[in-house]
Amino acid sequence: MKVVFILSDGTRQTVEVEPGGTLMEAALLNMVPGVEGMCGGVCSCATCHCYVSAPWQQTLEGPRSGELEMLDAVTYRRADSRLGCQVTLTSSLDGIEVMLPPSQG
Amino acid sequence: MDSAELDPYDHGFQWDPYPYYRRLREQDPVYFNRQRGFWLLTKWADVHQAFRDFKTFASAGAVALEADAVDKFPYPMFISTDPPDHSRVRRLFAPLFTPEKMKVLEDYTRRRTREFLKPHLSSGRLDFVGDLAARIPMDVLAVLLKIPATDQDNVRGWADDLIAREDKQHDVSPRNVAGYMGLAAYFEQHVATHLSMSMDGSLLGALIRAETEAVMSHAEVIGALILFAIAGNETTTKTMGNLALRLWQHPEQRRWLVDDPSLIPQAVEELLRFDGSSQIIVRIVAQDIEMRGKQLKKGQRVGLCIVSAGRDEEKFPNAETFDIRRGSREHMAFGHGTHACLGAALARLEIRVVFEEILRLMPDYQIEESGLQLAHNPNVRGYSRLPIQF
Repeated sequence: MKVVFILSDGTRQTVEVEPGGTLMEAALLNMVPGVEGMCGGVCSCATCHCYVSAPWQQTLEGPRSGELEMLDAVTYRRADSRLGCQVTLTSSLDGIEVMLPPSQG
Repeated sequence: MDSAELDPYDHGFQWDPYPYYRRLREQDPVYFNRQRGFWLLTKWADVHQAFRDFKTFASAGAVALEADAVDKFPYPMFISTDPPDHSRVRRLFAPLFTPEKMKVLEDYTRRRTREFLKPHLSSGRLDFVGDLAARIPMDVLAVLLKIPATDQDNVRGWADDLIAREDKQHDVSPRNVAGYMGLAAYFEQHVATHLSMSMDGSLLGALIRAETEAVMSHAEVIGALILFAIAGNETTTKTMGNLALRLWQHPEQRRWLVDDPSLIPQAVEELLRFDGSSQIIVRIVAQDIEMRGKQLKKGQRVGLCIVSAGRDEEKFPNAETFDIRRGSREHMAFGHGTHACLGAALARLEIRVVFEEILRLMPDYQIEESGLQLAHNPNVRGYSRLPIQF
């Protein structure tokens, strides 16, 4: 399946991954700039912060309390903010477009 | 610097590696030890690059700096695998190790900390490591893996044997292998005993389900249990000891924590940056690469010196000063990225709770420096004995 990362400068990077992983993993396995994924997906660092636009959000489960706590600490928080490590990629998300903040942290 | 000069297996180096790391960062940051045939990366940017670029710096076959470690330790550990094998196993465990999931262990950790401390309160002295820091991680791990109290000393003892290195011991010793085989035999039996039990949401349950559903092989499950026993014991224990020492060396900062315990988490982060127990994480060069003018060749071993990276002036101003007000989480004490420590949230919780209790019960503890003993290993640095008076 395809995942499109849109960097803060507008650059698009399309990656090919197997379903079953997370958005963070898709970025790390393809070394997408702008996703650090420092803690490796245990919801502990908020360096895989990304924006998932409304149409795609509707097909996802909402964030749990631990994710919301971490998002409280990020600099560029928006209504559509998510942590990539908490979004599991199912085949119904093929082609999902994800925007990245200007910086992680 | 003479290329043969720095030996991570030298006990003298292990007592205080930081001046050596500083010289390397300044003079030879991508360092090749000709005698032993491995590279060391000592700058934050280089270590970060190596963690991110897993296709160039592979984990498969990279357990330790010792070249023969893989052959002598036959059970596969997911720490030594690359995607997609690594991703398959990592996905099973990551959801079990979030801070949210670990929170349920906080009350238990606090109760056990108080119970371990209680017998010593009237005497005014204890071995911070032997009586507390070595026991808490094992005790909490025992909850996750359903290890009975009567077996805990054995499991921890095997883990200690597995990592112990004599002065300048460059190869795996019979004691190391015996520790490994002790753990393997124990967990073989442990899994067999629990196979037919109805499984809950515990870590042991997840492992056994992974085997019965053929997501992991039996050998991978045993390897993972051995890994949890090592990682869950050695690193957290030693990080606690290192923090006890650094706070004693910086009594003013210790006083800030006594007055305001909400600062303890950032003291933990500063300790991880400044003196974290995991010193060197090993990778293998999977394709030739040039770094700072040096040619790293396919198949060579590379030590990522993560505490050296935390002391890199180019990343952290006044990097060699311990200052809990810094509280930066950009250290790589738990690694970085796909292989970052699964148990980081658990380690942070255990260390925080232990120091909340220590600083409440014995805020002015003193360390008997002459009684310090170091647990010798090139990858993990910390004390096996740390006597205190209070």
